[in-house]
Amino acid sequence: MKTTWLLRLFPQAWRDRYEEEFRALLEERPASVGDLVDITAAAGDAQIRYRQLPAGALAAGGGSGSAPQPARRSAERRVRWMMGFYANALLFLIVNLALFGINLVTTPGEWWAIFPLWGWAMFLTLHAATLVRGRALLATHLALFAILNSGLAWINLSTGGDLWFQWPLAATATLLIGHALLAYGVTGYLGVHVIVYGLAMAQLGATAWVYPDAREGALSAGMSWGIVLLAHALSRFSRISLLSLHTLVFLGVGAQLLVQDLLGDDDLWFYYQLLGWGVVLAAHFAVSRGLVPWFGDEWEQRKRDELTRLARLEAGPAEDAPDGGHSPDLIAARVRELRLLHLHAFAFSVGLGVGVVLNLLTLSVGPWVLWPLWPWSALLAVHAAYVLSRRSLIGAHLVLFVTLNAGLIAIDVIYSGANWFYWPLGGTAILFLLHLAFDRDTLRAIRDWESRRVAAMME
Amino acid sequence: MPDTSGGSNRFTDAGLLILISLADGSKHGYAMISDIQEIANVKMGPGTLYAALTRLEQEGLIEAVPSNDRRRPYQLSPNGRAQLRVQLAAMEGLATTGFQRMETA
Repeated sequence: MKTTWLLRLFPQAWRDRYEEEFRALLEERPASVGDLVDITAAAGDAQIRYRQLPAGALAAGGGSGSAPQPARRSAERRVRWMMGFYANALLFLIVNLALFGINLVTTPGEWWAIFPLWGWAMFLTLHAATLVRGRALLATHLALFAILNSGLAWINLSTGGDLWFQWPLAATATLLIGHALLAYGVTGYLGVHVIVYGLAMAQLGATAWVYPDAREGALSAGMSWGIVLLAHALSRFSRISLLSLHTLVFLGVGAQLLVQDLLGDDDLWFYYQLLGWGVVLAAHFAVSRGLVPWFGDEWEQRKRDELTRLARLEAGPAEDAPDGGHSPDLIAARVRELRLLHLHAFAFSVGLGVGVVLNLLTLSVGPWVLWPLWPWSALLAVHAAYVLSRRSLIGAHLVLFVTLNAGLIAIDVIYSGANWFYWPLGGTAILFLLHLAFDRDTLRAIRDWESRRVAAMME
Repeated sequence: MPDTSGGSNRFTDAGLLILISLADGSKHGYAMISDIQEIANVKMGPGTLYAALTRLEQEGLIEAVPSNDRRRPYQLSPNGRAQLRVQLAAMEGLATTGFQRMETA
């Protein structure tokens, strides 16, 4: 399997120093699907530690000479990230205590304050997960598992009916077991995949036994996953490319769906899934063959030249003027950001096209395509705002606030006649205002204003 | 949230394995992976290896050996050798205590 394309995920300073020898290593030993995860995790680690370093900062034989600088920057980044977590945890305590206070005073019997507590606690656990690795990461996974499932069990038991909470409980327990086996090094990725598959099949079997209607779906899911598992095993023991593997899985699952469809009584439906998937496969093909411009080196060079020219214009004619933050490494980082944004927009337009076509084929069900497209378009808008506003967190937050609430208001108006939208609107508005009050851009603006006032008074 | 990756005085598991692997001489990436598999029965992925190598080199515990080959070999720095000695001695002491306590129990 070819994994060298993952090198693009690493920061420039790291690539300048280690890319060549890392490539040599990847060429020397056959890579597996597990390596994809391993290399991606290493890229994330390198991004956190070395992203802001200028090119050449990780010089060969760096040793003690270059150690203080990168170590300091990486420590600064991590401290800032950790401060974000502590701020989140503090806000979590204050806001939830306040909500429980309000709940106790206004509607003592009805514990609605549990819902924001529940959702936020899971978000907080995910935030903690970004700070740790190894077994500590497993501990955050365990916490998330416990919070999620106790919440679901509570909802299930308080509303009565079937004990449906057991299904997500079993499914998430399977994932947790897989993670634990990996964290304790009991077996590799393929072994974990086999075990998780076995556990999931046992659950699917139980589901099919309890609900006879679900039998066909369970069988189909089990067979499709089995094909993916076979492909995983194939990649482990041979040097097959990711694209060939994807094509094989596509053909295998396609054949399975066709047979299943022909054996059933209804009209033919198998091509709906295959149509959508086929477009994704075509996009994969286009990317791996260099047909998508934003993946090529040529695009990168052109964009780099363009930004350098712009930076020179902004800096003015003086040749020895400080570059004002437009050094080659910053430009390279900017090009990477823009490439990622282009790719995101490309993926979104492929998704949009596929979704709309599939929805047109199944118009009787209604405009279901809006459901996945709304959160995705909000995410894309936030991503674009962040990149185009040159990493202003508050700008991205504003866009998130607007797109999220616009969607919720639309849902409320269409489905329930505008009677609850002000709750999330109010809650997210408070969060946004708190962020605005403590944002580094706001604080800098206040400091600038102060120093201007002081200067004015001195005159 | 506590930092579990260890400061410059403590090695992560991958870091320690690499230092031990380099203790008998310089090795390049693939040789380290094979060696670690052999001595510790740990299958180290290329990403894990290079994340740890980067960190060890930036902390001055290992150094790259000049080479014309694309596969760059690494060796322990004097500082790395000294720190490995301290770490292994501490582990040895801990193991001895552990065995002694099990015998007296």
